[in-house]
Amino acid sequence: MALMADSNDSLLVKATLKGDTGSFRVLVERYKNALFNLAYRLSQNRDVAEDMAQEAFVRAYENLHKFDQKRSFFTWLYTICTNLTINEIKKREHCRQARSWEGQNERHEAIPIHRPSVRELAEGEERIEKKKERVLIDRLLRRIPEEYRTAVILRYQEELSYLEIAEILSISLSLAKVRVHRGIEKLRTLLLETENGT
Amino acid sequence: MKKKDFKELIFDFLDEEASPEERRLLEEKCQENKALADEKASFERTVSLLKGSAPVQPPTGFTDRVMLRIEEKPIGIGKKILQWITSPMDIHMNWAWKWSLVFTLVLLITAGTTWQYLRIQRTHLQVDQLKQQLAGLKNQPVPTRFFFYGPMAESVHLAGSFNDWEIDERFRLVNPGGGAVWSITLMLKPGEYEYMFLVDQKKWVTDPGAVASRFDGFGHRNSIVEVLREI
Repeated sequence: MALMADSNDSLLVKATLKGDTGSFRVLVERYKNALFNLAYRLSQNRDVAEDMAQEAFVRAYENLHKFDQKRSFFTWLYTICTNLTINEIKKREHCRQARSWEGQNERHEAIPIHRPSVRELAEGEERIEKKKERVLIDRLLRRIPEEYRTAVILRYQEELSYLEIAEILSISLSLAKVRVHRGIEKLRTLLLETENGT
Repeated sequence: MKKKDFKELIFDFLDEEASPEERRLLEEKCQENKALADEKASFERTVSLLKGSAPVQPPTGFTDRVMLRIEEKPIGIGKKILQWITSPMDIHMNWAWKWSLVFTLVLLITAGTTWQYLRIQRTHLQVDQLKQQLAGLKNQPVPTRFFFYGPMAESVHLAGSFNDWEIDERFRLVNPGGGAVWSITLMLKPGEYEYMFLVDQKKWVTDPGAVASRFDGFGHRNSIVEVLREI
């Protein structure tokens, strides 16, 4: 029997384990936006985000029999996606640094500069301002250490609780708070420096 | 209550965990000190910028691509069995089922223990029987064959400690077809025996094929045979 879209995660997981892939499709539909957003915010790259979100679902499906059904499926899925994306970012960063050391890419990190199109100009000042702010915060996020960036994104963009962050990152609750607070502190300093032109 | 510093108050405020009293205290501090007010404002702006980040949509066909990848990797029978074994199951039972299960388990354990006990007893019994059989076999006569090569002999007899060195027709060797090889088979109990061949009723000959021989005190060497148990 195919489970409906409003069935809870636990029932869908059980049905998937019994071989009903239709139930897993419901789970993909349910969490694809969240996972894609998470991967995008962590990587700031749509291609990486799609690859990592897809990979997270595939890994979840392949390892579903290991999933502890007392835990939240959503948190488990988030953990997989976060780890995959962070590893991918590190891998890419490592490759970029290696290329830089080899002298093939001596220039500084390319910071995306937002160039408004004609269409964007027509959209109005407020919308453009919002876009500029988004580009600015994304650029600043890239300048803080990965461990703080991930914690800040999970807290203020994904709006997860500190408990969920601690579980996803496999750290203590107090360390999750420390990372979020230090990340915010660093971002604030960078924001002030940028806005004051220092 | 532990007195929190300004930063702690700020973070509690940002996390919406500050109590009304703490919020009032924070506001008072900001009103008194412009630098603190600016700091609070900059924190709020940072969080506001973070939260203002618009959500992005996954590309169309995302779900289909995920499902395609999943369906390309059908789960093998081994993995299915592993999944069945490792996946937790919810079992709901009323008290009658629970007691039936307990009773069945107790019955199975008792039956299993009894069966195991009886099996061990039976094994012990079989071992004892085997020991007895072996003890009986120890003194069972074993067929023992003696050969003598005598192309010129007309008669060959065997005499030894097994028949008190008596010359007896029952211990006469035969040579089928008048050949040179004479032989006889005796049923002897396990042990060591001395023997000799008497050729043509007059000449005592030591068996050249014997494994050992011993002086008999009369100028001859007695052949020695050791009859072993068959097991």
